[in-house]
Amino acid sequence: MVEGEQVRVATLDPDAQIIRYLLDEMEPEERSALEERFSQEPSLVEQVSSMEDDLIMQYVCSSLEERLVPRFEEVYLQAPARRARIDSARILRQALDAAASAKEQRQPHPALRLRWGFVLAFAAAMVFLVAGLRLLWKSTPSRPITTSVDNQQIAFVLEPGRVRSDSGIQITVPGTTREVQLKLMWPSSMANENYRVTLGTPERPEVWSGATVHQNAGVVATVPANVLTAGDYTLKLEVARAGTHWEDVANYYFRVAKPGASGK
Amino acid sequence: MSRQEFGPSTLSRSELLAIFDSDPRRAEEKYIALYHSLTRYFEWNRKSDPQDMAQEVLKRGFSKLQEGQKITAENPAAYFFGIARNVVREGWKARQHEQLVDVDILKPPSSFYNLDPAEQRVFLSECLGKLPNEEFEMLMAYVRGEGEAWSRKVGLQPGALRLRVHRIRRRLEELASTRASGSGRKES
Repeated sequence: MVEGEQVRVATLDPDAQIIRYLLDEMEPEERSALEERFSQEPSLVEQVSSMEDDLIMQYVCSSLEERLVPRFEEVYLQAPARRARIDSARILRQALDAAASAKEQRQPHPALRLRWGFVLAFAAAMVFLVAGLRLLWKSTPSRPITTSVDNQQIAFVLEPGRVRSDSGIQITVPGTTREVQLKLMWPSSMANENYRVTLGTPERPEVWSGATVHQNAGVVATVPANVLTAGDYTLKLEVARAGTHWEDVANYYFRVAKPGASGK
Repeated sequence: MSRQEFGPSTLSRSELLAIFDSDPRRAEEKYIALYHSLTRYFEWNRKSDPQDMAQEVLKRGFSKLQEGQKITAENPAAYFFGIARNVVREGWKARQHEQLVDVDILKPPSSFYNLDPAEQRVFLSECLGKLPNEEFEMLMAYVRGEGEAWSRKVGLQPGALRLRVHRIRRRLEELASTRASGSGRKES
């Protein structure tokens, strides 16, 4: 197919036509003709609105076609009303994620739907399992979820929402380390959002703070190793809203042990 | 219902909105939907004050009705879109501090987008809990990029899914803004 034909086919596709309208890529005559149709068939406005919502959600989910992204950002990030729609789509996505997790938590585990006898046996087994894990925890040296180490940098993966009281995440920072990379798991994080972290201890709520870099299903904070002395830490993750306002997203708890310490 | 006056004529709000539907509840819904459509239309035309412009359109349309003009278009929304195109052509701009809504009758519907992000999240989360399971799952599949598979499963065209998701979102946003105004907060 020659190039001219491709253009013509694209123009005949109603969805492609609507996208061109939304991204201000139409010639004035074509634009005027489409808008004329709004006053003849108001359902077309709903179609265009639904396509707009779709484009925005694709952008928020980083699944918008690459070729459309620059133009989309040019048109949508400049206009406050359109930017507000992007923010709202992001909020909807986060609210849906939160509602889905809450729903999953409310649903009883399949094992609990079984007969009482089995449930009791299961509960007893769990008690032994927890006791066993506790013993194992006490006798095992620090064990982060994941680490990757080179000479001067060490990386750990942290998951949100773990309360300090059952702080299973303990990390050991060797003396030669200059930087500690903390990969904070947060599935709703977006490449185009700004995040920051604040590191604190029970005594000092703000030991260190800094920006993060987006990485698959989370963000990475690079913390100077010298601020991580032995002790308990809280890492607060925040996202920038409306340019100036920082909003809490998640908290991560971990313990730093001295090299060679047993983790008790 | 109290009779709210507009200009020299005596049509009440419910009489005016009856052009959209004979059922007052549906008429109100259609009026709100029209306001939101007009707002979008002005956004698409890169206007900096789309909500003010949508109000101006409604004000002009209802003024004509008060003057006794009849709407001949099959769908009253089409009549208002005709006015909207004129408003764009004229390059209409709201004068600073102009009282666009001089009587309650034209009070614009509350808009979800006027809520601040924290409020949007709170009210949206509440309203999500009230969605029927099927709609919640559809929305979830769509947001997670699994809309195509969902469409195939339930036998929907992708365009139809997009429209259904759009309608659910609009309903959610209306519910959330109603919840917000009911909770006593004031929109910015």
